[in-house]
Amino acid sequence: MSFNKKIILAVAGLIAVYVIILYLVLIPFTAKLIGLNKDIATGLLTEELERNFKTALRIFGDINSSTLSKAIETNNKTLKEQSDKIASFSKATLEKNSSDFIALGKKILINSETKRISDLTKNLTLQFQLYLSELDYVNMNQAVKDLMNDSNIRYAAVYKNSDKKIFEAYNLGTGEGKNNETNFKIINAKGHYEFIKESFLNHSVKLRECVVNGEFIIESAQSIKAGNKILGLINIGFSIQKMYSDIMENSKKISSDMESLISSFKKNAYNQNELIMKQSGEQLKINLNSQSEIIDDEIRRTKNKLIDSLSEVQKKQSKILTKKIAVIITLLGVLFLIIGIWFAVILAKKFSKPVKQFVERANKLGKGDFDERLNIKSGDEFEILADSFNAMSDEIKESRNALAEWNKSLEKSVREKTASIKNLLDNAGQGFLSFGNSLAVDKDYSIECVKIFGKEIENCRFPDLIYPDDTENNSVTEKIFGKIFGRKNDKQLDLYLPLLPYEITINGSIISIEYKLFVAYCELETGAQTEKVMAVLTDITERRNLEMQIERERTVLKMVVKTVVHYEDFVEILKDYSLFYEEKIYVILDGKYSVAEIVDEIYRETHTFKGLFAQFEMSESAMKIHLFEDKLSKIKNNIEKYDLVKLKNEIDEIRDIKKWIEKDLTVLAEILGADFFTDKNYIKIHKNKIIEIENKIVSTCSAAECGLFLPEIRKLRLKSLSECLKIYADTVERISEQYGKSVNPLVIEADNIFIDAEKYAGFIKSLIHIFRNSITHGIESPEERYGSNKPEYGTIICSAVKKDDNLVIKISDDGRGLDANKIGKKAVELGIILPEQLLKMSQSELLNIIFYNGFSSLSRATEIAGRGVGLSSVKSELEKIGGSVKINSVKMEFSEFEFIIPETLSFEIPAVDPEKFLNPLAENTVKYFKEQIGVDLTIEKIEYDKNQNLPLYKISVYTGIKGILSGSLFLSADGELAEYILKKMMIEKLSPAEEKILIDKGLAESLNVIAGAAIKHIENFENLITIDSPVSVIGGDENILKFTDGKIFNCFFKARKGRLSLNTVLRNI
Amino acid sequence: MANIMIVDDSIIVRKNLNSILSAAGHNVVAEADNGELAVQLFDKHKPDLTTMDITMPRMNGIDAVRKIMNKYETAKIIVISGIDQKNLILEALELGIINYILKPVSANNLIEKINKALE
Repeated sequence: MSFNKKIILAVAGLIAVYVIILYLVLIPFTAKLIGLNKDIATGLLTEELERNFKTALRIFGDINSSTLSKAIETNNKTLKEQSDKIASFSKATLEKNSSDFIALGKKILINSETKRISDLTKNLTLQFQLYLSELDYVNMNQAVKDLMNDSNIRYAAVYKNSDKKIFEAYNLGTGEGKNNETNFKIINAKGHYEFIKESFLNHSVKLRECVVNGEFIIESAQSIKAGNKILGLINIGFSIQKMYSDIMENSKKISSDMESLISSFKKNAYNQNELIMKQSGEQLKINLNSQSEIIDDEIRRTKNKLIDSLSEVQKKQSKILTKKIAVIITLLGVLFLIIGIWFAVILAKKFSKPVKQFVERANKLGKGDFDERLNIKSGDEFEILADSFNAMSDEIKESRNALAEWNKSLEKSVREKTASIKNLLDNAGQGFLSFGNSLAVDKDYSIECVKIFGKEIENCRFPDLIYPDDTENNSVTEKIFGKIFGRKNDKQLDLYLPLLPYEITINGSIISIEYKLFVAYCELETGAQTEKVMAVLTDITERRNLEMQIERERTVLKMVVKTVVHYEDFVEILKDYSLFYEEKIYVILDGKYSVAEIVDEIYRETHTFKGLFAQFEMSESAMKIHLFEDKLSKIKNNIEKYDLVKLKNEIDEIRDIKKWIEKDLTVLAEILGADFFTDKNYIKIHKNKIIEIENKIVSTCSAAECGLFLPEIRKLRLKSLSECLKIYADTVERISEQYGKSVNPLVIEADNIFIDAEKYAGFIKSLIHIFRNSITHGIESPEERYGSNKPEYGTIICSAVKKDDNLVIKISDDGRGLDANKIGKKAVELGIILPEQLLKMSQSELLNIIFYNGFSSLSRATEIAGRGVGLSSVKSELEKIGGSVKINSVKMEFSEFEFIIPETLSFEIPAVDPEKFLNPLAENTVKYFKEQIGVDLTIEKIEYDKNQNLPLYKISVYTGIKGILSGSLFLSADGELAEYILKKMMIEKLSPAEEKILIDKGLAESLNVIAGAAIKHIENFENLITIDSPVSVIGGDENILKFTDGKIFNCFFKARKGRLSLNTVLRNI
Repeated sequence: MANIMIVDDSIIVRKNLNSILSAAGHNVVAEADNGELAVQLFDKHKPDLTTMDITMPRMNGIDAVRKIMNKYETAKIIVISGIDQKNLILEALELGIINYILKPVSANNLIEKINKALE
């Protein structure tokens, strides 16, 4: 696609994007905007409406209230007027009517009553006259009864018979046989019936009246019966009067009733009025409320309607607006599109020309034409671009040249680097070589390889190089490499790499080989890798030699110790050896022996020497003899092939056998000094030499070996006792002169006695008091001696001997001896002892008093004797080194101090107090069993067994201890406890059979741990002691081990399940 | 924890291996003192792993490995051997053993290799 098209397309695309954006963003945005307006408008409208509504409500309320109050007022007035009217009308009516009514009532009453009464009175008077004249009271009573009965009967008869009569009358009528007549009769009957009914009713009323009047008549009759007819009449007259007054009374009562009726009516009317007023007010209120609600509703409805219609309008408006905007936007878009395309076409046309130029130029540039120039003078960016383009073209040209140059130098530097690496490898002192799966060594290998293999090795197969003669290893190595190169995964490397040879011997040199796998080449396309092995060869002969030398040095040290310690034996052997090579060998060779005999004899002799030298760790000498022996044995096997001459030739070197031991002797001389061999009876080694040897032993030998060698070598640091005592020769001379005593030179008899000078220093120094004592107290004055038949010169002898493990030093003089009685007396005087004690003390006890502090038998203190402290200080020094003193004396003959000092040879080796070892051991045992096994032990007792008995329980294990402490440790338990311990130690339950087999293992393991921990417990102990692996003794119940050469410490423990003991046998304490 | 069979003609070696393996939490399901028994016991127990000595009476370790591997391709066998038996180790590796241990056997080395083999 051309540039033009691209621009057009781009612009069109841009416009399209713009339009889309308009559609996507602006329209919804506008709509949103409209929606916003709508909301605001609605809000405003609502507000306005509410305001209007409120106003309307207020006005309406005002109007309503005034109207209402007016209406109520009017109503009230009307009501009042009405009620007043009613009241006055009622009052007037009542007032008007009441008199009329009363009059009327009076008239009616009086008229009717008067008439009725007068009628009744007439009738009654007639009847009374009748009855009064004809009947007596009884008859009259009967008449009344009859009357009453008759009327009832008649009434009943009329009532009962009337229907019958009517029916009869009817029948009668019909019996005539004429229809008209029948009807007539029926009507008659009916009329009859009515008549009967009416007359009955009348009659009944009359009858009832008669009853009432009857009572009055009866009363009257009774009065008549009682007296006189006139009184009756008067009574009647009174009755009428009374009746009238009653009526009057009634009329008045009616009138007042009327009045109260009127007032009550009035009251009622008023009340009613008020009620009506109230009711109408309520009604009005209700009406008003309902009206106001209606108005409210109306307003609300109107408002909602208004809002609805408004939003409807707005919706419609917004829709229309949106549509309109969309249309506008679309139109705008189309317009932009058109403008854009037009603009793009113009632009494209403007751009395309220079772009075409650029394209052409770039093509040329690509083809390597750097010289041509772009010439665009458009004055715009194209011109700048063209300039840049030209500049770039120049730069590329320069860079290209620089690159070519750099490339050249890089090649050179790579060559140099390679050379320097090779140089480095060549001088690394290690052989570097590599090979691929063909196992043929690559071209580049370091020079050291040539040194190692003694030839150029390019293309040599690696296995052939390292195993030129060993076909089996050669093929194995080849196989292993085959596996490594052909491995399926790197895990297999772990399997095969360790099988490669890592140390080989080539041409007498020991070579160690390291292997490194590396990717030599990787194909970029396939990723296939070519792997190679780099072998790094190091000549470790030197190192091995050094190691061997260290080993040799160790041997030499051993040799030194042995030869020094057993110096006399050593010298004897040397003497024998020199005898052998100086004389014996010639006798053997030149004697009358057969060849076989000669060989046998030489073999026997040399073999002895070999053994002896080996004993002294003279390994070089032993080795040389050993080689010679080998030769001899070969000869021996083929002895028939040898004659004397041949034999002599073959073993000619035997003439040089003196030299065989020279090397060892030289070494010894170097270490021990040239003096070592000069005097065969004395060894002179400088103390520093010994310390040197000691240090070497410590640094090269194991702890156990140290424990063996150090005490021996340290003996060499002892000093001759004679040497130490020599100084007293002068002292004796000096003191005797001072005291005017004649004394022979001090005799010291202490040959071959060596002591640890440091240990004895204090004691030897203190001996001056003994010598002084001998001279001042022992040796008599020359005159006295003369008188006693003693030699003029006194003699003091100091002698020392080793007796058992003790060094016994005696200092004696031939003086007057010690007077035990005198000493005792003096001691009492000095208050050292009590007189009664004196009697009980033996001779030697008394003599010993002189060592008491504060005792001095001289009355006055002299310059150097008599202060009473001298001899006591001897005693205290003696006690420091564990010695004791004994005084032997015969009065007038001699006195002798005998010092007995125990000689132990532990010297500076850490002195191990058994308690230091045993207590932690016991504590560790308890701790171990509690914490690690879960068995609680209590220590029953720890005892040193003087009888050297070591009791064992059923199951025991023991282990040897070596080093500065040597001996054995036993851990023993009875069967149940051993089983319990084992069970506790096992993770899984054991079968009875397994238990039987492993029964001792629990104890063995425990012993190991306990002993190890106990050793660590003591400072500097760990390196000086070794513990063997445990050995078990099963079924040793009730057995007792007896030891002859060790001290036995038994520690007994008790556990819930049984007993346990830890026994220690120590030998070198 | 795996089920392990120990094959070695020395009872001491067997016991030691057993205790090392048990201590490491493994379960020794069988012990054999020769190759023939080893093959039988393998059939019976199908252990997750077998330690195999090479030099044994009746049937040596290599033949036992061959028989077992022929029958059970996925059997995991660790051969215990001296460094002077490289040839036999190679042979065993070709037969498909999972690893080997050179004598002297240390507990750590043994457990490490066994655990690795059991992964």
